[in-house]
Parts: sequence; C-alpha cells; structure tokens
Amino acid sequence: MRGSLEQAADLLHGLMQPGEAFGAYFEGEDSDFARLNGNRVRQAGHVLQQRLTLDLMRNDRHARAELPLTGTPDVDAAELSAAVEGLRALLPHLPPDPHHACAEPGTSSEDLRTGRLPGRTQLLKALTESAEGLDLVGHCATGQLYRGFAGSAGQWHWFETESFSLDWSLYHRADKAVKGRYAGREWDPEALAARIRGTRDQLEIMACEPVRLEPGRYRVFLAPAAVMEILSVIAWQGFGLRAQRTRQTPLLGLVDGEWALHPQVSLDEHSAGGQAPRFSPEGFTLPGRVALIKGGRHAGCFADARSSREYDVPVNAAAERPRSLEMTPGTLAVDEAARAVGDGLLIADLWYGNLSDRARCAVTGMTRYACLQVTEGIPIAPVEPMRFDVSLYEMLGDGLLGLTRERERLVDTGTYGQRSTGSFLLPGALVRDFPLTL
Amino acid sequence: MTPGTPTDLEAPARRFRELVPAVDDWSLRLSDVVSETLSVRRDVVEPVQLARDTGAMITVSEGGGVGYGATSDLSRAGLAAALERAREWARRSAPLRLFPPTALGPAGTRDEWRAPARRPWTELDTPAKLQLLRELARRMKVHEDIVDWSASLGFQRRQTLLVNAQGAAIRQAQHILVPQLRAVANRGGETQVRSFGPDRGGQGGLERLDMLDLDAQPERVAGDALALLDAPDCPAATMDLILMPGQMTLQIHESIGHPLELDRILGDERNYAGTSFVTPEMFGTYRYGSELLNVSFDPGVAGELASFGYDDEGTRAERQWLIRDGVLLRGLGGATSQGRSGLPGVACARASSWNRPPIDRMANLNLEPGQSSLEDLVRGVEHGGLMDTNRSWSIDDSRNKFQFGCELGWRIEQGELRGLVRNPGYRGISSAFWRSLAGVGNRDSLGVMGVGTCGKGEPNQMIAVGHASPPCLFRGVSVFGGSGS
Repeated sequence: MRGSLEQAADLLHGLMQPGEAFGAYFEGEDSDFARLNGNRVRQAGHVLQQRLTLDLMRNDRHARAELPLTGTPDVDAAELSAAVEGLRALLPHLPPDPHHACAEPGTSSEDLRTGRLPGRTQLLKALTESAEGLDLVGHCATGQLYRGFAGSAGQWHWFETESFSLDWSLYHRADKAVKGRYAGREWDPEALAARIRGTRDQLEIMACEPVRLEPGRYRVFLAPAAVMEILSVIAWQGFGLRAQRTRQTPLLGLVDGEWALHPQVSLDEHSAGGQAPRFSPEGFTLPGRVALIKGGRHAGCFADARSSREYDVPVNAAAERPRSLEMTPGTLAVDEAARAVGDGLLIADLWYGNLSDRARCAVTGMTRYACLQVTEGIPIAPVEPMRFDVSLYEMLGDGLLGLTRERERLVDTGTYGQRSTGSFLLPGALVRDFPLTL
Repeated sequence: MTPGTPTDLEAPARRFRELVPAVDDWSLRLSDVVSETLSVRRDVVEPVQLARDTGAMITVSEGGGVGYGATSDLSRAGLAAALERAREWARRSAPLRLFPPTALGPAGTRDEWRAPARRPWTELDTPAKLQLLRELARRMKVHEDIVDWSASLGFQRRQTLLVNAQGAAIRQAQHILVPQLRAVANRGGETQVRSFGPDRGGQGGLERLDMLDLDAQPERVAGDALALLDAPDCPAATMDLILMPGQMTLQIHESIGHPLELDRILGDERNYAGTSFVTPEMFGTYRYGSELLNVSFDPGVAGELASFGYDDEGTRAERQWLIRDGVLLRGLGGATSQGRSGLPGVACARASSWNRPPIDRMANLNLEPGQSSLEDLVRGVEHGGLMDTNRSWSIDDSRNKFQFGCELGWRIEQGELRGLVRNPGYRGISSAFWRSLAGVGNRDSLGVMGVGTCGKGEPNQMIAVGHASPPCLFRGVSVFGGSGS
C-alpha cells in the first residue's frame, strides 16, 4: 500500500498552486476476520481498505477532505484532483485557522514491523481444534496494517505492521464464562493451545454454584484487564490538554493538586514500547515516552497538533488519548494474589465502564467473566454479575494495597472502522473497600 | 468532491455482474457516503471536513459455506480480487460453519426508496452555514464561567445499491443532519456540561434546523450549564421518576432494544456486546412491562434517524409491534436470525458501512404515546424527580442491571417542579423497571430522537438508530446524585 501514498503524494505535489501546502495522512489495512459462536464460524471474510485524509492550506486557511484510495493510479488521480478542487474552492470563504499545525519540513520516519502470521484459515483451525467440545465465542483478525504521512514540504512517515489477534470467551452456561486473548506478530500455535488450556482450566470453577453478593465494600484483586477497563474510561478525557484547560477532565482534582493517588501509581504513554505508529496525522514525530502520573501525582498530559497551537506547547500525541499506556509495576507476586485477598474477590474483567461522577473521578461498570469469591485465600465460586461504582482516588489512592510485579500486555482488539493499534501494559491491583452497589 | 455529487453505483454493479462466476449464491452491496462536518469551537472555525466513503461488500455462498470480501477498490480488478477472497472464505469456512447457508437476499425485488429532504443541504452555502454556527456559538458565551462552547452541523448523504443472484436491485438514499450545541461551565472544581443534540439527529435537509428550533437553544443551553453549577446534588432516595425523551432514548435503547436482539439471544454477541436476559420461550407471553408499555419497530417514520425501505439483507421494512400492552411479542432479528431461531423478527439486518457484514440492529425503536400530558405526569408525583439528557450509561452483559446518569434533573414535590439538581442518576434492573411504568406522555409530548453511536459486532460496527418516546413516569426508582452513594 506504500505505493498508494507515494502515488498520491506525487500527484498532490503536481496539483499544488503557488502558496498552497498539503498534508496527507494514510490509513490502510488488508485484514481477514472470522467470527465464531459455539466454536463454529458465524461470519468470515476479508476487508481491503485504503483511506487518505488530505489537508489543504493557503494563507493560514485550512480545510480537510477524506477519501478512499484504490492504488489504481487513474482512479485515485481523479478522486484526488476532485478533492483538491473542492477544497481550493472552499478556502477563500474560510477565516484563518489559528490552530492549524503541520510538521516541520524534512521530518521523516520508517517503521516496518514484519511478523510471522498464520495462514488465512490456519488461525481459525488452530482455535477451533484447541477448543473442540467447548462453547467458544470469539473473533479472529489477522493481516497487515498501514499508516503513512506525506507533506508538501517533504515530510514523510511510513508505518507498516503485520499482526493477529484472537479474543474469545469460553462459556459454561448463561453468563458464566471465562475470557481469553492471544495477540501479537509472531504466530505460535503452541502458545495459543496453552492459553486455551488455561481458560479451559478456569472454566471448571465457573461450574460451581454462583454466589449472590450483597452490595457493600469488598477486598478485591483486579486483574490487569479489569484495571484496563477503568483506566480506559478515565483515559477518554482524563489526560488531554484541551480537557484539562477547559476543566472537563475527570482528573481535575489530580491536576489541581487537590487529590493524589498512591505513591506507587505511575502512568506513562510509552509510544516506543507500544504497537501504534510514532507520528501524528499531521506528520509530527511523537516522543517515545510521556509521563502522565508520577508517584501518584499529575505529571503531564497529551497535546495534539491543534492543542499545541491553541495552548502554545509542543505536540506530543496523535490524539489526546493514550494508545500505549503503561503502569509501573509493584511488588506483589501475581501467584500470591488470592492469598493476599484472603476473604474477598478475584475480578478478572470489568465491563461497560462509564463516568458516574466527574468531580470525584468515579467510574461505574459491571463485573463480567471470572469474578470469583475468595475465602481464606482460596477461590471457591463464581459471583453473579455485580455493579461497581468507585472513585479512582479511592481505588488507586488510599484503597490501593499493592500492584503486581508482573504486567500483562493487553492488545486493543477493537475494530471500529479499522483494526486498532492500541495496547496497555498493566499490573494487577490489590484494593480494599471496593464498592459494589447493585 | 461536494455533498451534491453522488458516486455512480450502477457502473461497479454492472462490472461485478459481468465477472461473477457460477456460484451457489451471491450478493453485492455498494455503499457511498458523502459527508460534511462544520464546527465552531470557542469562536474559532474548526477545519471544514468533507468526506467520501465508497466501497463494496461481496457475499458469496459456495461449497456449503458463506464468505465475504469487502473493498474500497471498485475497479474490475478490485471487485474481482474481493470476489476471490469471498469465495475462498466460503469454501474454507464450510466445514466449520455454524449453520447452513441461507438465501442471500430476496428474489427479484426491484425498488427504490428515498428519504424526503425538503431543503437541500446545498441550499445554504458553506460560508452561510459557518456564519450561522458562529452566531449560535457566540450566543453561548454568556458568562465568564462558560469555559468551552461549540456549535456544529454534520451532514451525510448515504446511498446504497443491493443486487443479488436472484435479480434483486434495491436502491436507497438518505440525507442525515445532526446539529450539536455544547456549553461547559466551570467554577473551581465543579464542571457542568449541557448539550443540545447530537441525539436530535434525523433524516431530512435544512428544514430540520427550523423543526428543532435550533435558533432558540444557545442561551438556554449555556444558562442550564451555569445554573447547574449552583444547583445542589440530586438527593439519594427511592422515589418516583419522570424521564424526559432525551433520557428515554437511552433507556429504551439499552434495556429494551439490545435485550431483544435475536443475535444476542442466539449467542453471537457473547464475546463482545453480551447476551440477553430474554430467552426464546418468553416471546408471546412474557410481561416485559406494565400495560402502558407499547413498543414498535417502525422504519417508516419520516425524519427519524433510522428510517429505510429495506434492510441490508434486502428484506422489506415494515412496522411491527415488539411489545403490546406490556407483553413481549417479537424480537429484533433479520431474516437470517429469524431462520436460525424460529422466532418472529423484523427487517433489521444492518451494516455500519460497506466494510462490515449485516447483523441484527435496532432501527427506529419507538415507545408509543399514551394519554397523559407532561403536566399530568408531574401532578401525579408526590415526592420524586425528573431527569433529562443522558450523559452516562452502563448496563450488564445480559442487559439487566443498569445505571444511567443525566445532564440535569429537577425535584418534584406535591405535584410541582421545585428546583434544579445536578449530577442526577438512577439505577435499576430492566425486568423490574419497566413493570414500574406508571404514566406515558401523549403524542404532543413525543420526542423523536436517536443514538448515533450504537456499538456492536465483531468486527465492531457503529451505527445510528432512532428512538421516539414521550416522557414516562416510573414508580419507586433508586435515584442518586454525585457520588452514586
């Protein structure tokens, strides 16, 4: 697909008139998808898509067009020419855009991440054979992802990665299930089989009679996936400069210094260790690491290209949300989690989180999958789904008893519009007085 | 590239017909969406965004399996490559198929459906529309405590062409307009947001701006945001609660719409969006709500967000009762799910775009009006509250235990509204909540609204759905404010 962007850039250079400049951001994918229910294929197919976001600038005026590309020169040339003409006709009628920012001339990068992907149906076969006899529901995605940028001042970035992801649930009955995930660039059928065996083993306890809990406060261990759900809600507006300056961030108390988290809590955006491209849609090269919370206190935030101009700070993000969020580990051994809980709950996953009280940075959501009652350090039974409503300042503040020394990389398997390149690297958390409300 | 210039979908359809070989069955769905987004934030005109999204979804039944190939390349070579991928997936997935292939759409249906738009989007040029937005935005900056304010208009012109091996050719076109005003007020550590739209999106042209009385909204939106800064938190108690259409939209969506989706009941969504507390044997007998609860699937409401003539499997769309006098009658499932489950459904197999296959979705899911005016409903509350405009939503994967938050609420005492409260929320359990329905507003109080970002499916799909509802009164609801305690 690199050729599509190169062709588009060549054509755009030729189309520019004196005083005009362009930026072109490319997104493409060549992906196979298979959806399963009852360990059988519900829907399977292939998606090939290429898309260009074109910014045209002249005299501080700026407008944007998004259009599909095909890689076929004649077809793309016609589409691009029409787009440029449309934007050119629009620009004189627009006021100057004081917040538009474009990367410096000469900025460039190449990031090619090859992998060892399974064959088109190999992945599906391996998954269904490993789960033979089980009620597996899930989704497989595999293929190539592409991102690129070309600018009229010679800016050039290209990112290309091969990856796969499998995301499944093994059901015992009704809503009693365990969750499994396997994603990466190097396909290893043995690793998949081991993960399926792991989830199969967890399924045994889900067959026990479920416990119905009373609302109240519980001592819990939140597995990394559960921590991710809560941080994902906070991340939606929590770490953006625009949300901070307009006082909309749920972390306002932390930003203002009125609240603090536990000193063990440090959060970074670690682009260099993640799976997303390290440039913005405007062609800015992104820093390898941005500190967001350090030692429990506010340390920094994301500024995308428009915020950088509005608030006069350097660009450090493609958008004002994390794509490669990391939390510093603690010292608790994950194997000791149940013993550390003593009497309480092991929570593997949380689900459908949303802010319930912005001022307190409170998140509500549900337990899902393996939420287990623990008695004297031993998991004994699954728990019926319960609603939680917790302030981050409590959960990762006074309520935090420890973080695990092991961290789990959780790949975002989201596919809205296109396959995500996001990921998290998170420890588990031992928390006291975790509130369950319904 | 302007919104007035449609892509010719007939040409790629002709190319495809020329190259498709003899397979057991096939369908081709072509989609072309042209959109324009105009926005003013803090008195700065944001970049005007023009967009086109065009592509093809090819579905093939061959060798006992079904596969799809989707591409943005509508050239002969592009369509041929996607066709081969679809055939390959059909053959390779056949031994692992969940159910035998069913017909890919209707036989011989040839029809055209267009949503009416009285005043075309292009009737006002871009500078005029931007000037309108600048003025609307300016009028929201009424106080120094308003720290962020914005006005936007989103327009889409969608056209699809569905053809299949049985000779069907179904052409559809929709124009969708979504306005939004938003004001953020802050004082110290307290921030309150008030909005108008995007739940007011609907089909039609610029006439929708007058219909929504957009010009009357900026000062009200900003005034509400400011007033909320000084309002007390909503009290926590079990009380009677009136939900306005701006919140009923979400209540219907999450705790009636999703649980009735047949693909959830069949288990397809259990790894992502979840399952349902509704089971197959409930249809025809289960008391979903009080006798006042009447819910229809109605894709024929002019101007509602998800009106259409045919779903994306080519099934003709018709109005159907889902719940009548409180009893569950019918689920939300298209022809494929109806065949798999043996349950009654509706024409609701929809895809978010050309690059995703159809799945069971809501379309226009409406709670039908009753007999009460809003004043009657308020008069019927001795001690309670009223809430409007959703801002937070969360529900369990069986669509039972929910907790929702609203932008604003009022206390009701002795049948009268007695003061604004902030951070209102309520929680409940779907199966019990709808049985506590004690009053339904009349046709004059009906709000025709919608949700533009309903997420579901693997691979994920985001789609717009319409919901119309009057205000409704519920007895004995667990209400809270702020901390959720």
